[in-house]
Amino acid sequence: MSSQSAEEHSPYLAHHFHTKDQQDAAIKFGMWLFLVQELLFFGGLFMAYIAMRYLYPDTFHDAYLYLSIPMGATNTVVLLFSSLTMALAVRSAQVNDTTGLVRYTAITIACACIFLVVKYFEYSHKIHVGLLPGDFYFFKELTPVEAVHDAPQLFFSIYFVMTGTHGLHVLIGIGVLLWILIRAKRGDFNSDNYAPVENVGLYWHLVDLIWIFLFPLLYLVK
Amino acid sequence: MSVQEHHVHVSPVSTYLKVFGALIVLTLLTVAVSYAGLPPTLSILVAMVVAATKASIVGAWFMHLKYDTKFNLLAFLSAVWFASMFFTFTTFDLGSRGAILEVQDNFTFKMDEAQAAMPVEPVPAAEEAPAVEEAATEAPEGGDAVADAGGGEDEAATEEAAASDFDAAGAYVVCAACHGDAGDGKGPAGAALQPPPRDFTNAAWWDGTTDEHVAKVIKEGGAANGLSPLMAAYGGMYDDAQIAAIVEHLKTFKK
Repeated sequence: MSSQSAEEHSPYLAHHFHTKDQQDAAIKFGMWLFLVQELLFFGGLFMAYIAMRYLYPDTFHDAYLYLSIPMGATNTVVLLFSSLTMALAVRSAQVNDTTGLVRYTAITIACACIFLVVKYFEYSHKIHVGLLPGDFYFFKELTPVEAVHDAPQLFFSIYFVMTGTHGLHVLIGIGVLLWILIRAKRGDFNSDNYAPVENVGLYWHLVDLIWIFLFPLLYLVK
Repeated sequence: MSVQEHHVHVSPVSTYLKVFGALIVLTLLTVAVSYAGLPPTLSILVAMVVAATKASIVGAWFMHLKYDTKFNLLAFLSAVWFASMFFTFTTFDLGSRGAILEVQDNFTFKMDEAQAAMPVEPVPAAEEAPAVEEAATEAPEGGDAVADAGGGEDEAATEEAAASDFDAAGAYVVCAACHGDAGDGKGPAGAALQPPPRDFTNAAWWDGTTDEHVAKVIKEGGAANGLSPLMAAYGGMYDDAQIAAIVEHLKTFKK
């Protein structure tokens, strides 16, 4: 059986595509275009970070000390591990291993939940002591720099907006991963039809990729 | 195998495990470096190089860019390219604000010099004065009752200005940098200002203000009157009668 005839008879080939390969490439490219605009969207937030850091280097140095490196590092490892299980989930679909697909998708969702739980502890501590954006800020120990009296608030504005936007992406990721999990259990996916798994995988890796930059910039860099 | 039929590259599990191992090692490295007490510039450089390496690894193996059609890689790299341009040029802008302010100060200084030199040349002043009066008489045609109502005052003030031999139109050359030759607030130096320079052609604005207030702003500057701080104070340069003459000149722009 030649590959060409197999493609022509694929039950998953939509009528407006010539071949299954073309269809798969188009689906994936569409996802990449979405990911590209996600990158540019986060680019604006990173630029805000750069500008504020440039304008208030001292305050940024003082404020970042109040972020927990162990918690940030834990979350980094959790996300990297979830990226691994996501990649393995896609691989399971590629080799027709439905059990593996369900298992790895479930582990990925569990990791995403762990990430959010750690984030919850970080956020609740900051909300409790008053390390908050703008007018909500009431943390006294971090003495504001004279003349630029609102700089610590700025740091925490940026912290909450950047990690919050990223956290929202994690939350959305849990949603689409659950959708993949349900469909995988139903037996929707096989080596000939796994584009949704692959695209959700790409999305999940991007969420990981953004955290790879957020972690050192917010938690580590002096 | 159906996998072969669609030319999909399936990486072995061991590859993914190695990639994960590399990412963990790089994470440990970046955390360790942050405790090493490097100078800030070097610290951020190392952190970003490590992060970029990790991102490349995730992109190449987890996101399959290494084996995919290069079109997806092109899309990804174009985003990276445009984001870098955005970061670079915005940072240039942040870093050169001081220099721009210096140039602006210098410009203002030069304008002051020009202003100081101006009254020494009475000949062009005399030539320009009738033109101003023409403009003043023409103005009410475009306007209506409101403009006519102020007419009597206008004449009196114009006479006063003429009597003092002060060339308001000549003085306006400095104002024109921002407020424009036609008084429409569209001068070359004012184009980018926010709030924009006052548009003196706006009859409705003239209706809502008083000559005294306009004179006060010219005398004390914008900052003292809750207006744009870029409107300088000219009280040290002109006396009250001269400022009144300038206000009369401004009225000639009214449409």
